[in-house]
Amino acid sequence: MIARLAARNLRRHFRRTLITTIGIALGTALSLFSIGLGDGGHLQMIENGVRIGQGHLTVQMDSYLESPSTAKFLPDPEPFLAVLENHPGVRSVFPRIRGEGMLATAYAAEGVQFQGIDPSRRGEADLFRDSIAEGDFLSASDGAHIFLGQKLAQRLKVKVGRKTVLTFQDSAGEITSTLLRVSGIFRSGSSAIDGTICLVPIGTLQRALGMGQGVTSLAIYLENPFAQEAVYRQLERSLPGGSAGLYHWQTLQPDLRDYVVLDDVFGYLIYAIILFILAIGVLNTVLMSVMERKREIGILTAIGMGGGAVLRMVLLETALITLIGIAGGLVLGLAVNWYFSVHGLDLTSFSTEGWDLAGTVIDPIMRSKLRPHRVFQLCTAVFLLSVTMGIYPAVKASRTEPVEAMEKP
Amino acid sequence: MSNGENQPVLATERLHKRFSKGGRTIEVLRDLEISLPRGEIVGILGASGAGKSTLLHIVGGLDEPTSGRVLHEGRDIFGLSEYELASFRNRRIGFVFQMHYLLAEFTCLENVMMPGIIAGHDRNDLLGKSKELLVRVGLGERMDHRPGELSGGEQQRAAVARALVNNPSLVLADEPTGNLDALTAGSVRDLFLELNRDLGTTFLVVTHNRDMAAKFHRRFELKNGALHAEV
Ligand SMILES: Nc1ncnc2c1ncn2[C@@H]1O[C@H](COP(=O)(O)OP(=O)(O)OP(=O)(O)O)[C@@H](O)[C@H]1O
Ligand SMILES: [Mg+2]
Repeated sequence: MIARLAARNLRRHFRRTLITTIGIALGTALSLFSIGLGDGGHLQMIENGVRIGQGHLTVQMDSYLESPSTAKFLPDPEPFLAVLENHPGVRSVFPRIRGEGMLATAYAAEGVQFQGIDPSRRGEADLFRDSIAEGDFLSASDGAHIFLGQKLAQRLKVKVGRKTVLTFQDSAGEITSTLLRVSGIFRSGSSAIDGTICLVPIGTLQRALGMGQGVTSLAIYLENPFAQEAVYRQLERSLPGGSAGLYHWQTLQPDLRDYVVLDDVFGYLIYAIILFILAIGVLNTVLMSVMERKREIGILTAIGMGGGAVLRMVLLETALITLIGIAGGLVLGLAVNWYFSVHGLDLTSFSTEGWDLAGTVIDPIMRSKLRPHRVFQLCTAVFLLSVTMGIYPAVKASRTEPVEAMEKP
Repeated sequence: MSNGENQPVLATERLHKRFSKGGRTIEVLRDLEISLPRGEIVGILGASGAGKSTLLHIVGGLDEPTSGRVLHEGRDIFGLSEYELASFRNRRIGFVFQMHYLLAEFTCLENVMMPGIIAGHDRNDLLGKSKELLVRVGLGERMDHRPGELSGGEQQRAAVARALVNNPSLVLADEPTGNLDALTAGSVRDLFLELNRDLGTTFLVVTHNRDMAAKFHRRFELKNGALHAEV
């Protein structure tokens, strides 16, 4: 009975119902869009960040975190690799050496961050492989080659095929130099990266540094970045102990983590504003519809409708409007998200310069990524908030004094 | 109420009602006492502003007295919870307000059905009963019209049908024939008398129509806040 009355009240004030419904739908869709784009953007940033960095999870010596140095290497990565390779949830593992040194040519010398990688491993350094500007990527895992950023190459006035000298401290603390020929030049779009990073085959570095089979880190990439915590807990149990530990990217790349957290906070602020506007709109509509119907509610009360029933009727109306609005918002929001997850939001026109931030490269094409639990969270929030907004008008309506309400239209 | 059956359907005890407005207090009802045994049909006459509507509102549980008690079948209605009072109004009282007060957005038939819908009665029974009542008040052809499409008298008759739909034990009617021509007024009066006779429904009817009141069991004039029996 109450449901029929509520549905009827909505239908006969069709225009107002429609406007409120559209408002809720737009608010929901807008929130979904911004959640999708925000989460998608963060995911891209994190993915790129960990590709430049040391994976979603990293095995390295515990002492390395405090003061990174090639002297703090993992002498025998084999037992770790044995666990990591083929572990469920792990997409790939890359042994790496990371260090700092000086790269020189006949014209100039620059401080660089060198990374020893195994080019024969599939997927390794694909971020760099994908952004080759000239020449070729490294081929052999022990060739005397170097692959460097375009900015760096320009500063050193070096071209593909030419020689460079990389100078660094070896694992025993001795200054050592090694001759490397430029195999290729990359352009990632981030001037910080293009100006400082160079890649060298890991075998070449192991020999030059006197590390044997040692590596400074094992970079672990996951199938599903959202499953990071679960995989972390499993790996922590099954990896060999000792002085090497397992680290999150959040620990190794705190700038990136802080940026994502801060951006998330901004995201929440935006939803809060959207939801606030939505709440005001709902409150206004329901309050108006209750006041307009004061006389009618008075009559219903007079002929025996209880305060509880009036309360339920108004709340039900609010819930109905909200549900319809959310349904509309879901359709619209999911459609928009789908579009931007396939086609992406192209931001290239906003900047031609670098897209680097907090140690990562931002894709100029943002792709939205909407996870089911986020959708559920938002819909629940919208629903609860909206129905909460109905409480005050509903209580007001339930306290209608029949004689007074009927006499004053 | 075990002995509810033997109690008067309606009784008041020292009923007072005062309105205060802008520092001025008017005493509309003063020590008003009335007792209606089951099955009576009683008329109330009185000048405009005498407090007739106020009295009906109070004995119908729509408005609270300043002091005094209202007993229905021996039970103090203002001792009920708000929910019980609403349910009481719904099931035991039939109101015909001075202004017909139909729900503008619902059809005539739906308006008549409304108290039954609120009571949760079976829809089909309700439909049959409502149609029957509408035919009785001469609105058989106007069931699907909205109140705005009915004349004042027709609206009043629809309100009469609505008041009767839940078979109330007490009908409170505030000038139910005020807008009606003599013929229709007579048919509403006959309907009241018939229901009174057949179902034993008790009626308290405010009217300015002395011919109508003449057919009732008793008549009172409300004057100076109290009821005075008329012959
Ligand atoms: N809510 C109120 N506040 C103040 N005064 C009121 C209120 N309701 C009624 N009154 C006053 O109480 C008196 C009685 O009003 P009531 O409506 O009961 O008269 P009535 O006998 O029904 O008159 P009528 O025949 O014109 O319908 C009037 O003077 C009216 O102004
Ligand atoms: Mg009156």
